[in-house]
Amino acid sequence: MTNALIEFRQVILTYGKGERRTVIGPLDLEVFENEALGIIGESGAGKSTAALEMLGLLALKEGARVAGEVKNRLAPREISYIPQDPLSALDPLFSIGSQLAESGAGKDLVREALTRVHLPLEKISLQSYPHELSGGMRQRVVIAMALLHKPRLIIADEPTSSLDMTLQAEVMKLFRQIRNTGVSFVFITHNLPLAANFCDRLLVMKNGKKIETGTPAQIMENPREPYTCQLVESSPRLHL
Amino acid sequence: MSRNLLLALCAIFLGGMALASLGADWIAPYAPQEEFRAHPYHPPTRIHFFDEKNGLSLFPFVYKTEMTFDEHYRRIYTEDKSQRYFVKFAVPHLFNVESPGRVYLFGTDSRGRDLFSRILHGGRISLSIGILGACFAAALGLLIGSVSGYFGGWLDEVLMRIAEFFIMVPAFYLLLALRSALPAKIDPLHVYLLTAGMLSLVGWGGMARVIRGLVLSIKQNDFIRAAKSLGRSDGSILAGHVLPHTLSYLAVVVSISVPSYILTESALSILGLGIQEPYVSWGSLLSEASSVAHLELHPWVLIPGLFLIAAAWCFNVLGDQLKPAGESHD
Repeated sequence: MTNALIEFRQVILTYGKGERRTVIGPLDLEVFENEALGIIGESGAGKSTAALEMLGLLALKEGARVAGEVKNRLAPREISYIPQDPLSALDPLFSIGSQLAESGAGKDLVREALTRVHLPLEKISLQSYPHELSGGMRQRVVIAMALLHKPRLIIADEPTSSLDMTLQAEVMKLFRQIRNTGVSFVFITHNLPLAANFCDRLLVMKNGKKIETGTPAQIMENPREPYTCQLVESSPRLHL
Repeated sequence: MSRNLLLALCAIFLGGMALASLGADWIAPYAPQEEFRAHPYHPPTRIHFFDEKNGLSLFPFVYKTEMTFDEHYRRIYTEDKSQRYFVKFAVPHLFNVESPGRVYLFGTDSRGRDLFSRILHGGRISLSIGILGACFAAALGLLIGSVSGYFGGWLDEVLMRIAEFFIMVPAFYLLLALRSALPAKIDPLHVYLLTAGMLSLVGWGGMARVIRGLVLSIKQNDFIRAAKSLGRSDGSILAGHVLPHTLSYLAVVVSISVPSYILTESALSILGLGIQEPYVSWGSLLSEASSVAHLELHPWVLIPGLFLIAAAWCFNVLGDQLKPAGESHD
């Protein structure tokens, strides 16, 4: 772990008119080069909002106001985003091919990205539309899209929560392969075991604040904060 | 009547009417401005196949008519049966009779102009102005609604307050005010475009509001964020990923709003504020029917109204049919 790709220093985000509701902060976090950071927390903890802020997309949401400092050492194309629902991530009106080409990537890049997600052109027609693909294929196309520009950091926001168990395993296997090529990850999930399995470092969030951070082993074996204990205890475990 | 038969009938009526209007110069036996001063308020001409002297004839024919007045000064047309005038087909019009015989299928107006010919020519304006007006309104609504919904903030507030103003003010009074703000004497062709423009100006507000709502929901999709994170500009996202999703709604709303534009145009024209001579629309033809005395004596001046009602109704039926097609795959 060397220098940080993204750094949040006392970042505060509020929404709304009049009396503004604080959704994040103050929050400190950093994403280091060549690391997989898992952000864990229940729904509404501010995980996705933090991810949007990393992507610089919060302007899309109305009324967001940022205080504090966000240092982002990556060019826009070096960060990719994998959203939760592959159906909503692909525009239903356009074919897969035209959506992949939209980012300006040439044919070779498209083929390479599809091969990396195990969808060579023999298996998928670029003329097909999102609703014609199976759930797993759709998610792989979305991942291929994220890989097009050879990003240094991928922000995956609950990438597996709309998938069944086999597809989850398939996607996580794919992520591990991508991770092994030196790509950093921010992996957002409420599934603690999944994150613990994949990530190098976990960050637990609640009500927009950082509760605890540590390696998966520390968090799983030795949680310091009561909320983390609760999370660990409530996550499903196999008792064999 | 089955739904499909009804649809087919409506489509045939509108398509046939559109073709007939386009080909009015050939189909209509007379020019719309051609006046037969000896025949004001002539009732629809009777077409004969039989007469006492010659028996049954294979070809239809008419008699020359003469106008006289009865003791109440009502016009009476009597047929002069001494000579038959055969209806000729295809030269130089679809049908015609030799002068001095005349064929007025739907009768004539106060200046002896053939109503059938005028209805065909009027169809050009009445049918097209509704579509044109609805398209103008849709374009305006699309532009303002999408910008408002996509960019939000103060721009949204300002644009939507303007839209609400246009929704709130009673449309017909707004039209009258707009028309009175324009000079009284304008080139008739400009009047046509101006009327379409005015119709759309009072109609865009509702469309803009709905489009704004649609855009607000479409822009929540992850593919918008994905496109944004790829560095695409707002304009290209709006045109490439947001607007295509509003098209099915637009197609429906344009087709179901056409009848109201047609009817509003005719309301303006009946008042003499819409289409002006030498152009005619079904509405301007109906201005002849604005007095009860005329309706009683010459009921055929109401015929343009039947076309108006039929066209509006057909557009409505077809527009309704588009609704389920525009909704997603269910």
